[in-house]
Amino acid sequence: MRVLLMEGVTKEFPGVKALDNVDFELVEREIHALVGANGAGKSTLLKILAGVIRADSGNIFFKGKQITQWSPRQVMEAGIQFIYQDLGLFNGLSVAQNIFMGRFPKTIIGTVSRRDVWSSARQILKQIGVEDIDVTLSLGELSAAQQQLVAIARALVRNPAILVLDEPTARLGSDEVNTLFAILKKLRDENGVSIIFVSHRLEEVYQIADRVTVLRDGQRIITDELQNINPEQLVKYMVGARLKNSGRLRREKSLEPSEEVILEVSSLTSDWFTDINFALHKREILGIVGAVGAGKSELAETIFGLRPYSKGQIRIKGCLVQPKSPRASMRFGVAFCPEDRRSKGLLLKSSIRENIVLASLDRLALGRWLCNPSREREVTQRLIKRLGIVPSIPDHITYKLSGGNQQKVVLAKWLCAHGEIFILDEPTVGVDVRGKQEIYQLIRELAMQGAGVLFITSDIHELFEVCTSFIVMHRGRIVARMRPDEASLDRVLYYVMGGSNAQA
Amino acid sequence: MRRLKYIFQYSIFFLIGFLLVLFATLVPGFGNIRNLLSMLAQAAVTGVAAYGLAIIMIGGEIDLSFAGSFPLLAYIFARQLSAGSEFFMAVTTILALGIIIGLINAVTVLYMRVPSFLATTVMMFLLTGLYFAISGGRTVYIKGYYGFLFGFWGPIPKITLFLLVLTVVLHMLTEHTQWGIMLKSIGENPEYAFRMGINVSSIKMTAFALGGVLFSAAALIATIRLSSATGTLGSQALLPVMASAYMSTVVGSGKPNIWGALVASYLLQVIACGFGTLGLPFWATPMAQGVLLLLLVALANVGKKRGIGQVSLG
Repeated sequence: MRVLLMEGVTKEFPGVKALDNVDFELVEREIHALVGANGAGKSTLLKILAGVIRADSGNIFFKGKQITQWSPRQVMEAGIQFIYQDLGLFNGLSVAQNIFMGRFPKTIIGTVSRRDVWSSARQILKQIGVEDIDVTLSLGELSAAQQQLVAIARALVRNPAILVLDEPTARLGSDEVNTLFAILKKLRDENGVSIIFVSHRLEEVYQIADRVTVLRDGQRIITDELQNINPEQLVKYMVGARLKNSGRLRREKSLEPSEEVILEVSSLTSDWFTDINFALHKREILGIVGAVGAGKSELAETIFGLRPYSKGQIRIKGCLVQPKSPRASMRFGVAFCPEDRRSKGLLLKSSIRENIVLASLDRLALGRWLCNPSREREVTQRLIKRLGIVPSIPDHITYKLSGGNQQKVVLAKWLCAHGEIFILDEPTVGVDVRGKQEIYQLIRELAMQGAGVLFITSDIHELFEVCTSFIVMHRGRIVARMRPDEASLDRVLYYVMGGSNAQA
Repeated sequence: MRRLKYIFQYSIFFLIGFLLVLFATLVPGFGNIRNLLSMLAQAAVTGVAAYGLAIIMIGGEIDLSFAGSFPLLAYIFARQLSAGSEFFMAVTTILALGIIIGLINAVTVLYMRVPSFLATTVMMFLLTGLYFAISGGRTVYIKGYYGFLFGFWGPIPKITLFLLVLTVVLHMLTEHTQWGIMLKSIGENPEYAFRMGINVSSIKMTAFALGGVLFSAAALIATIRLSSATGTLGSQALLPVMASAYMSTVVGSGKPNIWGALVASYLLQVIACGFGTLGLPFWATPMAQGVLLLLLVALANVGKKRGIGQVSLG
């Protein structure tokens, strides 16, 4: 029986069609994998289902009834539960309180009985076969995997007909993934729950899902039983035939990496990644690609001195360094543009000028202490012009800029600070198509002028667009090293999703 | 709507103007230039302490310990003078003590990780307690006339000049030096400031120390003005100083700032003087000041541009 039908769903954002006439269907007692490369429209589709955003057109039928009014609250009450990557739990509350948040069992006089809550919480957890979690502990004391299970238990309290899991395995180890999958299967078989499962890992999709829907560029490519599709085919659906041949993509001929190694990482190991080896040359744009949870951002933060590492070496221009703080790394010319630029890469309430000069106050100072506004303005003006920041007003407040222009301000700041090694973590997230092209061009220019660039992304197309070579990470390890001219998109995606060399 | 927004944003100036006109019509002589300037001189105590608090607030912290250091430092100062200490020696001692108190605050906040609101409130009570322990709550009077501080320079009280010079210096420090810009970025986003290689602890440390010096300077001015050191100095200063520092956010950029603190402390002084000359009871002034603080901050937030989490007026 069909539980959910989304029909002809279309959603347009300024400048991009996120969903184009997409159909999606979910039947009773199935685990349905939703896959697609970055920007394919998965999260937009889920947001529409969750009632967070409204589709421009299309119909949603839930249990045969058409739904017109659709708010997050109604979605929840109707019996659709979402478990997002960040789980949405409260660290400071106990496990039991988290599970029953909003619907505590009450005593006669209306108070909440702790004992009742505890025992009901234990019951729920037992239902999914979890007995080793102390429900009186506060959530923050649990491991990531245990928190995931609590999130599932919380969803179950509301007797959902549909459970949506957005990359639930990104932070789990392989044993934990197996536990989770056993629970999901149990929910399907015993409780009759239909599950939508979003993942970037091929082996998991095959391990757990009954059917799969592939999205690409906002369109539904196929929905089918997984047993009818082999992994290679699946990846081809995700990438599409038209982009298969990478030779077609524009390449900058003039960008030839020099022999000079500027950053060398050898057998670097920490809690988040294992045995990372690579060398970054001058005039090189080295891509690092991987799914969420592959450890690429953590690697970047480690090189910038924000995270500790347990083993291995980092050499900058031949010197052995131990980056302990951003301050130290900056002295070696390392520049880092974090993924979350709005909270970690910019002072949103300050002006473009204040942002750009912040990493180079020493150099621009008048004498030792005083700022030199006219020099700052001049430098800012030059960078604004060079990077094409709009509006070109140094004193414009940063939060009013578009995503692309904000990213340019972050880059301008490091240009101003004379960075030599640029670590860019997802620099084009939330940037429109034109802005992306401008940023790619800027990165190429940076490299041509002798910088080394580490370009971290989960968007495979970008690799081919800008990188001179790239490495693929999966679960904290480097699984492949390639050059764009010798690789194809589907091969790369195959590695990103955890396909092994043996199968290839 | 745009015009309304301006009215909200600059409401503090309208308010000062309105009150000046109101009091000038009610009280003869209130509006003459001499009185206007002398009110600026009387605003010095509140103003200087508010500068200290504003600087600490720019860095994203708060320091209420001044309400305790006021009576304690005033008492020590008065005792030193009456014991025959040299004036400048006594002043230096007090300023040094101010720095030390600021540094202790900084250490509890930065290294012992106590939230600054809590740490400095405790410090306020400790210092007040210390004051009562050593003074027994007695008021100490000082003799002598410190004309070089409180004389006039033409029609302008010297203390007014001092206040204005200090305002310019601190304005330069917070807006136009590396230190000031780093402090501001720490206040806005400490995580990011750290990522920019800014030494967050040492900058905050100096901010607390600077705050401590300014608090002690305010205590000195109060003592010399009143020719005495009394125990109520701290509790009387608490509201106007805090109000001035918070209201400074209403003037201009939406962040605490020096000019704003000057304007705000003047406003509060106008109220105090006006109410005083009208013969209103002593408790009316802080009540009016408190209500104004709430109103102004509320108005400014309503009038703000589409900001983060702010309701838009279109």
